[in-house]
Amino acid sequence: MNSFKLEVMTPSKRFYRGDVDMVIVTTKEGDEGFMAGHVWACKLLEVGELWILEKGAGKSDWKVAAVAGGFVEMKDSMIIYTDAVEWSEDIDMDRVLSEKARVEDWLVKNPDVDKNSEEMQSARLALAKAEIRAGVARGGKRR
Amino acid sequence: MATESIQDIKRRIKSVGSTERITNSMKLVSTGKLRKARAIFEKTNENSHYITNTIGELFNSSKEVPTEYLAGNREIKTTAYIVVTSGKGLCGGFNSNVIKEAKADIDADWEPPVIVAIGGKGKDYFEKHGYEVHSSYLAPPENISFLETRELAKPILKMYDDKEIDEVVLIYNSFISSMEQRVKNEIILPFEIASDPEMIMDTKFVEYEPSVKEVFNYLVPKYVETKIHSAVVESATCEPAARRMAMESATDNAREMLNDLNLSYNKARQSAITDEIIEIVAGSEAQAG
Repeated sequence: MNSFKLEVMTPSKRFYRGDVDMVIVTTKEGDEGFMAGHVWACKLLEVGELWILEKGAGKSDWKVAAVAGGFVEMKDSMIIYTDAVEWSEDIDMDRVLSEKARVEDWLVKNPDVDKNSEEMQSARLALAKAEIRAGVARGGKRR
Repeated sequence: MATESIQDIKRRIKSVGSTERITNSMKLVSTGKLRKARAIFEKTNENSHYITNTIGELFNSSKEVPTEYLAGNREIKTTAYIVVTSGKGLCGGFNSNVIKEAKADIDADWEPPVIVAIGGKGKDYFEKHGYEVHSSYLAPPENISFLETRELAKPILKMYDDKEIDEVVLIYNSFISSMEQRVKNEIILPFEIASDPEMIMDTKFVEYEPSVKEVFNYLVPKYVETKIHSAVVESATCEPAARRMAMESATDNAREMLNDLNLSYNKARQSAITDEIIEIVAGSEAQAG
């Protein structure tokens, strides 16, 4: 299988760099897999999971990370920019669950906040992030 | 130096000596901080470089780019100045250089500007001199997180979209080496990216998802945030460098002063002894005579 270079960047550090066989990300239009020779693309990411199959890794040896949105740029090599990304094994489950509980609590207590308000949107985003992180910490939806 | 008594000189030696010790230890602390800040700065710089490049490529490869962020599309009346200073002093010309540059620009404008101060020194200065500071960020800049810069960038972008401001200028210290920092004055909005005719357009089809416009609307705020963030990080790297230099020269000056004082102390002591001997000799001669 042909491999290609992947870089995952955050504002403060380079999260990952290496040769990979395949990458799966959640774009705004749904999950999408990228392999070498993919058409050049610039796509926005949803809060979601990032799956990386490293070069020479076994068929099921995926590396999984939680991504807080961002965008990918696919050319001959692939770059993913995101504000925050975390390997599944680094996620602190207690923190995720307490965060999730806090947001849910807020949603219950403030049922009449306008759906399109900034507060509501950020609450929903926080909830989505917590859910994804919890899912990734458990191994992700493909496992 | 008979006018200064031995007591006075002694007191001065003591005070200059303790100042020297303080400046010297501040120098050492700054050296450590500089090393730490520099590591962060190098990583951030790389990231912002990538983002800037991507935007540039996007402009060049697509004709459907929304024009409201491009230079030359609206008259520039009100300018927002983001002035990055430090929260603490004792770092030589670090803050005053930035403030001087900003003030020159602000005074040259016809319309009242929008001032965003990052760091307490800039805010204090502009408030004291009767300028209106629109918003400020006062926590120590070396710990600023990307999320905080985003909060800072949001109102600026909104004002730009609402056409309340037509230009965003970033003024900060840029890091050249640990011995040299230079004030940088950068226009971050609107973009001054000229389409490069040399670049071969549409060599390959690029897929934009959900659409060029949306990708672009995502990238522009990201670009502004990244720019501000990297400027703050860069300025936070310059601060200990500038302080280290300032403290180094302060230590040198204190040492020079100590030398002079020691010399005059010895002179004064010697002349006191001489005086005493003269008195004794005169006394004994008077008795002998």
